[in-house]
Amino acid sequence: MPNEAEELRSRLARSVVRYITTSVDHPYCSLLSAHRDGVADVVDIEVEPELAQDRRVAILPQEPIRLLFFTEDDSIEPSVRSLREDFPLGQVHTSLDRSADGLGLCIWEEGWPDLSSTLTGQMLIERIRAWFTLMASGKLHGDDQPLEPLIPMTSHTLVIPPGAIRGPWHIEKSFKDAGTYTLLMSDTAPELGVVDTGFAIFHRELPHQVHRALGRRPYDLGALQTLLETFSIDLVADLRQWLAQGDQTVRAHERHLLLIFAIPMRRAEDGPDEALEVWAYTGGETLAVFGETLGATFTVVQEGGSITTPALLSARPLTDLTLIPMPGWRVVQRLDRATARVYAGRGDAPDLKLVGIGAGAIGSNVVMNTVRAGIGEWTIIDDDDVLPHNTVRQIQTNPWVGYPKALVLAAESNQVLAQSGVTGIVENLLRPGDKKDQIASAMKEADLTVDFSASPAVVGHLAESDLTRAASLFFSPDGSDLVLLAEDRKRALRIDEIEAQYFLKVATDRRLDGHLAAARLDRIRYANACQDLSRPLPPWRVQMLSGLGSGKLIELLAKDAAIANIWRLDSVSGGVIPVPLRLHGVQRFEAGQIKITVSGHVLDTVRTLRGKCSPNETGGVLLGTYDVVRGVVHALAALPAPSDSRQAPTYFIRGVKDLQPLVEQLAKSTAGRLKYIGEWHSHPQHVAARPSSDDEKVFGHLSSHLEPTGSPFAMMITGAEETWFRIGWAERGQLEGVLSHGAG
Amino acid sequence: MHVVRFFPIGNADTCLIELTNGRRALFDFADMRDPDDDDDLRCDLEQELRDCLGDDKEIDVVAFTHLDTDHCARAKEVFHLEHAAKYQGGSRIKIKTMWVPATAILETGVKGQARTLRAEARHRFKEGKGIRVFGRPEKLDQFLIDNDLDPAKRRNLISDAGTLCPEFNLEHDGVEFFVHSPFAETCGDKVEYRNGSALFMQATFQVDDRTTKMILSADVPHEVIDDIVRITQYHKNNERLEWDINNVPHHSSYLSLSDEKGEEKTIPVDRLKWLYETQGQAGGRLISTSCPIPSEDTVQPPHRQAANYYKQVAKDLGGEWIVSMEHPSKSKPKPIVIEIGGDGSKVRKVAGGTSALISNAAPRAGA
Repeated sequence: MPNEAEELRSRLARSVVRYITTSVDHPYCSLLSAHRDGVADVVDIEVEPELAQDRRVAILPQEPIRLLFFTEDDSIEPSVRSLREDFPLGQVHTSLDRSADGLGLCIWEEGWPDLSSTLTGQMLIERIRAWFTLMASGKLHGDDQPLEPLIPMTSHTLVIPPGAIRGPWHIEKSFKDAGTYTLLMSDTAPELGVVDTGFAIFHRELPHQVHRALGRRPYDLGALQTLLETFSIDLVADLRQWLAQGDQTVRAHERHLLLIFAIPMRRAEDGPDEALEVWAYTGGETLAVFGETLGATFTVVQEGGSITTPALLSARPLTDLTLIPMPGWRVVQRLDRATARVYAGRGDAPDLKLVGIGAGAIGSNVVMNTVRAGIGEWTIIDDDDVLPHNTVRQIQTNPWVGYPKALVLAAESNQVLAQSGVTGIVENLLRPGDKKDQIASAMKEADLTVDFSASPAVVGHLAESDLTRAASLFFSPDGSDLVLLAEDRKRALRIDEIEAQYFLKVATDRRLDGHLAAARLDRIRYANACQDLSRPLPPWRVQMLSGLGSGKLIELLAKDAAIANIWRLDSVSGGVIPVPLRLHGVQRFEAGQIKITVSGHVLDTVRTLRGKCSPNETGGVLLGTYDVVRGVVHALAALPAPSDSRQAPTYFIRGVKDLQPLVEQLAKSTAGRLKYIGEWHSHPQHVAARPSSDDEKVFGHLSSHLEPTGSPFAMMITGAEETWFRIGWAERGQLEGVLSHGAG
Repeated sequence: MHVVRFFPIGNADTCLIELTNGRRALFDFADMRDPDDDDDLRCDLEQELRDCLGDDKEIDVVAFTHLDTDHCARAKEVFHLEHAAKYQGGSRIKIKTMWVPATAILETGVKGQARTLRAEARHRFKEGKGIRVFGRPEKLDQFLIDNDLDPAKRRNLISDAGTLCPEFNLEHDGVEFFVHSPFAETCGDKVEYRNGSALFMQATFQVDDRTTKMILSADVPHEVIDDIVRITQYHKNNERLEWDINNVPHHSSYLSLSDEKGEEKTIPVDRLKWLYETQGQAGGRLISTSCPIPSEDTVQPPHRQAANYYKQVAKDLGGEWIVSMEHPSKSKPKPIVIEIGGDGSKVRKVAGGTSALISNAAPRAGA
């Protein structure tokens, strides 16, 4: 290390020099000089970035850089400057600082205290090299990043409303802490009257600008005047006129000047306005002093106060404007949904209307989470009230006990952003009463209606409702698994059909063992009625799975296809394992009071088994789910022939070996939803897929056993070209249909 | 993305081209390092090549631009040669197609590596497979006749100057090779013809809509390059001498620019001036496969005056001048790795640190 470098005070400066001069591998960087200069350690280097031949910005193979380090402990971030006289000006992430002895480069975006704790000399050099590589390729500022400001701001804070504000500006609230102001601004006058915060606001909207390199920050009125002249604004002339107006002369000796400038910003000259940049400045003195300094007003101090009046035309000339300090304010904008989406990494997502059925554990957390992400103008439907035990895992808190969950969720969610958009309907979806039309309208207009209720009845209701698209998001009974089922955008598969296939998956995929097997024993009583039972469930699991569900719900909104996925949370390790479900198309039949859907999986199975056993006939049992209220049967699976079955070219007798325990196990693993619904068998080549006299006896056999029970019973015959079926269901009658082997 | 590698092997040439589709072409192989000399900074070329190949044991095309030692050293120890069993087996690397100038088959009185490679080239040519011969002098026909072979039946294995090599094409490989030289009249059967009859090619890479062109010029002297430029211009094929990467000839010898070395900078003859200053593309890179550029005058290349000219060309193009034994530093030269993508060429510059540590074996530890 050169001698002069040993005298550097900054640890990081020494680390940089050491890395460049002693690195085992070539650092693609060379040291030009290192020395002390007043309070700063100065290290001049030349970096060699990796450069593609085609460069959007004219970066050179060797770029000279000056690093300035200001403190021994590196508590102040070092300054990085280009020493190239011909460095391309006007680039984003460069800074035209007034005190710079070179063009400032914005190398990092992290907070310095966080970054500095891990920043070695090598890392600093590598970041600078990477900065040049990205600058050369034009990728330093991503299309998804917000626009860069024209000038930076500091000091006091102005919090402005969301969206494009055109003024007038009103101060809603004012806070002062350790001499620093935070003003909360509104574009509407405060309902409780004007808040006297001691500020008078001077506001101008400036012509639109294209984002570019950071400009030099004005620190005084002279610099501000010069800057605004480039916008064709004569600030001082306007201020003199404004200060002399009546509103400003009142209590001018007590109030201070607050200048606010709004500039519509664009990415390109011919592009649209994308954002509003707002500058705010304070004149250090009162309006009275400011007015006199500019020769605009004259103030007479007298007993009991002072009187400010417009100055005479022959007022004394202006003083040197650069002597009037003008501290810039930090301006931050409250979030609307669109801006929240940008911060949530979904800036490209559209605003959508959503309906949620259920404001309980998963519903309340998912709605709140998506609202934070700027996703969704929600309508929440729930007729429950908040009870004390709900507060453990729902977003509704103790003060809301006794209030309707839907309204509380809406109220809480609307506090998240500056733009509200969540409404509640206190009603039972399945018994809507006088809010039936309101609910129907909300669901029809929504881009997605989400069932959070884990209720098969609600799923069935949504399947038959006139809506755009339905989804269901729920926990397994013990709260360890998350399930997302969603229709495709064209509703080719309805939510109840997807739910039925989910039950088959639960029954047949070993990875889902125990998914629906929670026992009633682990419930606790929260009140006196026999149904006042709740399941103990730690809030962390609710929030973890709800967070995952929120993310997946947001992803779903951008996709067209139907989705079925289960995530299993291992509460010991904290790991989450996804178990995706492949969905099959269905064929639907409806007659009278019976509807049946036959999954493509059933058709594939019977055709495959028929082919394998040909020329013998074969067969087995059919499994499915059904809804006795809606009269819907979903045929989901066809099991192969038990081993003791008798198969011949002209007949098939289904055996029994191991069948009952298998069907019982499948039923048990789905909490009784997957059931035996009938029989299937094949017909040989050249024999129609239609019932023979023997087949009619089989159907009669089914009818005699099942009709009294109220269960549906089906018989299916698969032939070479098509598959025939008949289903009977007590007083609902019978339905026959033919499944084309060419359809899905 | 295609990758082109030049290796630090002193005044010698080896260029490995790895295509996005997995195919490879190797131009020359000269493993020059002295394994007994700890101060030899030249790389272990065989190991470098094997590292690049991974589990593969065959290269689609291996071109020997000519048979000087600095272009083929240790080739007979590393490659599987078809003509003799003693050069086969083990972990030898197979050559699917061998590219050689006609001189490599015809020249007489050769020894060592050149003799072995001549035997391999003659064997493949006589067998009628696994070889492409560049240039078609009458003596090549006579060679075939002397070996009881009909020259017409070997025409498909011979490429003339001004044609594309059929082993690669833009559509499937993203690269095509245009051969500028040798011409029939530059091919001979004397060792002293080697440099003049060596392969001089332009590779054109395509990624998306961007083409990147590379000149590979072996040890060709300026008189031959002058002819190449003249003929190319005559045929209005100027784009065939455009370049984004130029592997400058003969280890930065001034004789590949002019007869006159010059005091501080070699001034090239007019047609070569056009080749470098007009045909070089913005950001273009000139690669000298040579020892470090000396600060004093030397008899053997590299010549500092020639280097000064190339350096100026690179600067004027906003590009780079890279010397294989100086990259990234004279004390620790490493292969020059050039990525070719949709925005042209880019020299990979990966600094050391943790990534360098974990990408290599740790030193032996223990008592």
